[in-house]
Amino acid sequence: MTAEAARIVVLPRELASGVITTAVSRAALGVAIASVLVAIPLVVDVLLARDAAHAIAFPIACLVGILALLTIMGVWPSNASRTVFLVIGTVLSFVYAIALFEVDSTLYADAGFLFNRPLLALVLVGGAIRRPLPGFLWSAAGFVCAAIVSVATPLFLHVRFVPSWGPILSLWVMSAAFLAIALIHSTQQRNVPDLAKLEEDTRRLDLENQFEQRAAAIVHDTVLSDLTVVMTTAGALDDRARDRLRADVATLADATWLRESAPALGIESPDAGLRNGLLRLVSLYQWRGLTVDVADDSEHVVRFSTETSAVAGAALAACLDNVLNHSGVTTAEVVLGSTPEEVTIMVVDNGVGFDPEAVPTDRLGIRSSIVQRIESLGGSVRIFSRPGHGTSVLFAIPNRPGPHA
Amino acid sequence: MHRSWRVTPQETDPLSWFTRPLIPTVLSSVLAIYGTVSIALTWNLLAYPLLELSALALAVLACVLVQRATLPLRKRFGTRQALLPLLLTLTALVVSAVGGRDSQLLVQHWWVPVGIGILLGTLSPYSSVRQLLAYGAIFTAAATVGAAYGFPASNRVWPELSVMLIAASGVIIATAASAIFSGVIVNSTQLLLRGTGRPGPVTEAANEEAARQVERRTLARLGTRVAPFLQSVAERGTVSEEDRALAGQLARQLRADLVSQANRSWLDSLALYGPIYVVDPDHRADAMNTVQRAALRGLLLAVMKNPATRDGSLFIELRSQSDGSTAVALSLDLDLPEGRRTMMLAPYYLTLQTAVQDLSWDPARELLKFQFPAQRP
Repeated sequence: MTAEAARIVVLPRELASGVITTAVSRAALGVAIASVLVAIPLVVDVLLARDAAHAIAFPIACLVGILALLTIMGVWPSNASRTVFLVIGTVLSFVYAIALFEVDSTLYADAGFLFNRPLLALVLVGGAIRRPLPGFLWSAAGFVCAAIVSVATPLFLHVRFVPSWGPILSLWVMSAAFLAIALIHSTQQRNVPDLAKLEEDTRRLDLENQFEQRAAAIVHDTVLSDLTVVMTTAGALDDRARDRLRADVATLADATWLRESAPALGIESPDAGLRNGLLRLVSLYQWRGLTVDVADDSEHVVRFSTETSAVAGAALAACLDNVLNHSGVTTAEVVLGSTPEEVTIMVVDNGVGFDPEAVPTDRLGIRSSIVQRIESLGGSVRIFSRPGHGTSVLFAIPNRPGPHA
Repeated sequence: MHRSWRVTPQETDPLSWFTRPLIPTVLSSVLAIYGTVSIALTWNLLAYPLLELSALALAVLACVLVQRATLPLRKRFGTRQALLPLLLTLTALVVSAVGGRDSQLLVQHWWVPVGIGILLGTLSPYSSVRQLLAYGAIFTAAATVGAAYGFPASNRVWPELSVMLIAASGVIIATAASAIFSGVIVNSTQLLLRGTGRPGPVTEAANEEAARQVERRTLARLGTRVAPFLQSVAERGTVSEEDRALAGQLARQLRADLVSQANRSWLDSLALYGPIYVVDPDHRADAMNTVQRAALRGLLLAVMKNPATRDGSLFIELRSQSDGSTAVALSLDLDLPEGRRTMMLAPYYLTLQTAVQDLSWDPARELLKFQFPAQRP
């Protein structure tokens, strides 16, 4: 189970088909090696039982030669190594059969199992083939070689031909396996969805959703706030209010605001950025009727990137908006603190307070403008408030350049 | 022991095996044909040919059981599910060896080692290398003992050790083949998946396109009334009673719009475009990661697009659990025969299986259930 996997953990079908074909080819090589290996003790046991210890070396040498060729083909699979295996393997298989016959002519008719071990290996030629058709063609070529040996041996020895079923069965199994892979592959091509596209679409939708959330926060902080100003104003608007309305409308007309979390704050450098942003906010809210006292208790350098500072500043501005609009007081305190690990910003007011548990789910101010912003920086927000006892909002943000740096 | 020895091809590449009944079906047929032909060709040499046929029936039944247990949308096939087929094949071996004791059959013509090899082949996509080696070791020992007991007549051609070697070799070769097959698939797949382990970073172009889409929607929302209104107020420099009333009305509409957008999960967005009913009181849909979303989205889109889906039949419910995880139940109502429905759902089901926990499918109620854990911060 990979619940937290970064990608859908299935291979594209072309790759999976190649892997299965290679696995069949490798398994066939394993069968070939195991067949020849098992033949070695059999030859020794059978020849010893026939008092032919002196004749053991030659057929065993042929088997070892075939094993060596199989190993080479397994380690360096290529058309050249397969061709070499088929050519030399055919010769060694023929010599092996003759050598066994020389020891005991009855073996050819009675112990075909011993004779056809190298022939089986010839049909299982391959090593690591990635496509079914070449796999089948090589098996067919190996079967032709095995058939040549099967026919040439009785002809050379002037004995009656005894069919060898092992190579026929091997060709049949290999053909069925490669055919099945080709069929499965074509079936899957029809039925399996385009997972890569599905995943890409999902990521695109997620990205759009992130932009939607950001847009909602900006709209909340600009247009909605402007409409509130209009609702609560009677008569003439002063120049700063008019400028702000124009600036907000102009900002929304240009997509760049989506990438700038707090366009109102132009923050310059990592350490000075947050502090300069605070000073601008103090000035801005002073004009809007809220006196903000800033206390800087930080003992370490703030390592925020410009964007992180901007996001933190935008969340702080949203917090001060809430004080201005809902607290019923005209002063607030902002306390800045920093450690090597985190930066904290606390906004304190002695206003009417509220019950954080009782905030309706349709209120966006805290959720979208404060919590989501700070959480996007890997930070957290804690709100301490009770009706009649003021409100303190504490942001804790990791003291690092930030996820966007 | 290497970790890949404990993983099955089915686990590492589930999609390759959603046509999996095909493999056991073909191999069961191969065993039935091969065994019948072998017994028929050696009928006169067998002391109890009917006993051999009974043993063959047991071995074929073992393969059929594997076929039944590996149908799509079934639980994963593990050692527990393999136990009965293994025991049946072992019984077939014992019955055949006992029946062969008085026969004139040579050991190289004994169908049982090949039968065991076919069973191991049937099991190989659903078994790890470690499991296959264990099964192979047991069967090798059993085949060796069975051959020593059941084929004394072979001694006229083969020495005693060779009789045992020949019987064991079929099983050893099949074990090697199935273990290599399983191991190569697991290793190669894991290697390839490691290369695609992380998605590429979001490109500037993708970012730009997403921003453009959102800008278009936002401007459409604000551009018709709100922006011109604010612009006109700014130009005039005075606020009338009508302006205040209109500002209040626009603010209420905008707030309702923003609230609705903020409360809408990705599943709700999907439901806007298709016949799906979402119940998500705890807003858990957005706690799913991208992979889980993509896998579930694929399934839902496929079902929604299928003409056999009945209107109003798609229902998905997400509930928080006490441990922070989320339980999901998806109810479908597809007007399709069982086989076609299974084949339609299988690739999505298997993809979802790689991304969530405790996935199960109840065919009678057409109910899909799964859980996803609480995400790490």
